[in-house]
Formats: sequence, C-alpha cells, structure tokens
Amino acid sequence: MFRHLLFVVALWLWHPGLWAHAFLERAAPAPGSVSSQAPTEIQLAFDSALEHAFCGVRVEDPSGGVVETGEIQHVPSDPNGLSVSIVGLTSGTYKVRWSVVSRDGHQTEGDYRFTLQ
Amino acid sequence: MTAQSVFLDRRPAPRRRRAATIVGALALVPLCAWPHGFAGKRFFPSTLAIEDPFVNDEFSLIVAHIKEPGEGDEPPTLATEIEAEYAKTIFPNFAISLGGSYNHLDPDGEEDDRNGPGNLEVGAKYQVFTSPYHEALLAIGLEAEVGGTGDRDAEADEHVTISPALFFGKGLGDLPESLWYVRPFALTGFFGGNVPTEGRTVVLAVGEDGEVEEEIEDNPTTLGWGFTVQYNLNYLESHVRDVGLPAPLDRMVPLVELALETCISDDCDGETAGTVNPGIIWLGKYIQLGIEAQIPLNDRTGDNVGFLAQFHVFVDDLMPSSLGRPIFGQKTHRPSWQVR
Repeated sequence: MFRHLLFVVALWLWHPGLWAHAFLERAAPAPGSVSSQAPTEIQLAFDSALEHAFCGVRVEDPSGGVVETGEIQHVPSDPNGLSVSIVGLTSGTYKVRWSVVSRDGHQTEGDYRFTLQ
Repeated sequence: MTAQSVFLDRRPAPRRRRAATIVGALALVPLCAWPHGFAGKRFFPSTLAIEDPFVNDEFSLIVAHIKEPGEGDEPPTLATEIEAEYAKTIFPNFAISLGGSYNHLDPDGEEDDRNGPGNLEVGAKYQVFTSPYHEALLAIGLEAEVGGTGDRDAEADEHVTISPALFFGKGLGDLPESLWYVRPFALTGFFGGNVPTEGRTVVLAVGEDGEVEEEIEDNPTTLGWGFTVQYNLNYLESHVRDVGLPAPLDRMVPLVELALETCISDDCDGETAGTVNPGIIWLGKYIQLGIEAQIPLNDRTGDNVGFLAQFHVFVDDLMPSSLGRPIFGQKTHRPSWQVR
C-alpha cells in the first residue's frame, strides 16, 4: 500500500505538464518585443496542459479596441500550447490578454504588450 | 523566441505520454478555480517570515536558525526551530491552519542542550478583498498559540496568546508601461497584536540551595508588524518583457522581508526587536523553496546573523480534486479583462 502511495506521489511530482496552475513560459510575439514584421498568429506556451475549451485570448490595438482574431487552436504536438490567427496589424503597441484553465481546473490569466514598427 | 519555434521543444516523450495517460485517468472534470496566491495575473509566493495575505491549501516547513541574545540571567542561546504548518480552505476565501514546531536550544556555557516541541498554533484567515486588476489583496486573521501544549524547557509558554492581524498585498503591475522595470515589484505586509491571556506567569524553580523559589515572568503584549518587498522574475518574463532569463532564474523571486515586534506593555513600552531578511524564493509547480538570511536590526535581536529555509507544498496543485480544494463552495471567475 505504501509503495503504491509513493508511486502516485512520485508520478505527480515527476510529470511536469499535467497538473498545477499554468504559467506562461513562452510567447510569440514575445512580451515587450519590438518587431517590424506583423505576426500572423499569437502563440502561447504554458507549463501545464490546458483545457482549451475554457481558454481565451484577446488582442487590443493601440487605442484599446479589440482586434479580430481566429478561434483558439490546439497545438497537436503540445497540450500546453495554444494559438490564434491574427491579420491586418499596423504599426503600434498591442496588448495580448489571455486566460487559461489547466487540466486540474485552475484558472490563470495574464497580459503583455508587443510593438510593431 | 520566434513565432516559428515557440512550440517545437515541447513534444512529450513517450514515457511522459504514458504518465499523462495514467494520471489523466484520475482527473476529474475541471471546475474553474482560482489558485493560491493570485490577484489577477500577479502570483504572490508564500514568504518565510511574514504571514501571507491570502488563503490557500498548503503545507509549509520552515527551519529557523539564529543565536538569540541573552536576557537577564539567561545566556545567549543558539536556537534552531523546525516549524510545520498545514492550512486548509473551508470556504474559497476562508481557511484554518494548524502549526507546531520542534526547538533545539544550545545556551552558551551550559553543557546540556534543551530540546522539545513548541506550543500548538491554530489559526483562521479570511480573504476579505481581491482586486485582480490592481493586483491587491486584503485579509484578516486570528491565531492562537495554545499555551501548555509544548515543552517548557524548549521555551514554550504556559499561557495562551491571541494574535489578530491584518494582511495586505499589492503588486505594481498596474503602473504605466514606461515604468516597466518596476512593474514586477510587489509588497506584502501585516500588522497585528500578540495578546497573552495572562499578564504574568509564576514559575517554581529549585534554587542552588535546594529550596523551591518562585520566579515571576512578565508576559508582555506586543504588536507584530512587517512587510516584504519582492521582485518576481517570472512576472517580468511573462507579463512585462521577455529578457531571456534561463531556468531556474525565470522562476526566482528575490525579496527582502522586515519582521518586527514592538512591546506595548508598561515595562517595555516601545521596545522593538526584529530582523531584516534578504533572500530568494524559487517557484516550482507543486513546491517552492526559499532561503533568507536573518540580520538583527538592533541589540535586542542580537548581533549574529541567522538563516531561514523553507520547503512549501502547494496542496491545491498536488491534490486539486480532494485535499487541495475548499470543503464548501468553489471560486469561479471570469478573466479580469472581461469584468473591468
């Protein structure tokens, strides 16, 4: 019994991508980045597996208006990632707002800005 | 970090897939829950010396080691305390806690060390206010040290001490973008009282001549107060500017804690003791680790530097469907950018 318990605990601790609240690990465009090329999608990669049905991404233009984006897309190779397509960005500073729910039901949210020259 | 490469190194290995399948089978349908220590996008780590301004499901182990100054006839003592605390949410914004400690005391000039448990501590905390947009938290708490449950040889008091307190936390993420390098900063703090239920304790001791003597110890009422200044490098990377910090730096929170206690009883009115604790916390997925130096602020606290070490378990992440969730109710939220 004790061995089984130890196994389950070890499994929890060992597997880094299944449980726990999701922290943003990488993003493209990156937080605070400045670029001259308009992105065609926003990619976000977290440190936990996501429930994509409960995730949301919103992009705001320099005046605070909401930029139209595509639907949330799974990344087949990565249960921790999501992407949304985006077109027609002109120069200015944009804000990316995201809200995700990890597999254990914990919700986290965040935002960051990037600049297009 | 480029638009093409962000997911490329995240493909799970086959062994990882198997583990995901096994553990995934144990998972329940997710219920949106706000995790511990968050106000909006701000994550507040659990600090070592100052009580946190939020409620959570957690287990914390702290080791404190410092040479305490002598007082009266008592010599300076090298004190090591291992303190454990478990906190459990009953409602989403209300938690109770149970704590205990084991003390090792090594007085200067005495051959025998003293060991034993400290008193049990029970507490309750209510998270009154949370502002996701302003990254602000406010909580009130009440803790009681249950006198007589510990070993008097290990300096456990005989009387009960009641400690009401107010806790706050504030992230600076709502500052203007031009101050981007300041936005990862956060402050937390507390202000409270420590009120003994007995003003004095009478202790019977055997004197050098073999006779029983009465010693009277004053039990002063004190104010506990302090604050922390934290710089969250994960916040910097994720919400402000990706400066390319490598692991484990991208999960570090350098911080300074100031932990103080001021006497307000007649015989010691205004006397303050405390330490300033510079240190660092590493945030893992299920645990956090912390270490701090304890630097005495004045003679009353001594003149030797000690240390604090922390092993902290996020029970809500480790057991999200059982012990790690409130017994009654569940927090549900919409993102702060939808409710502003």
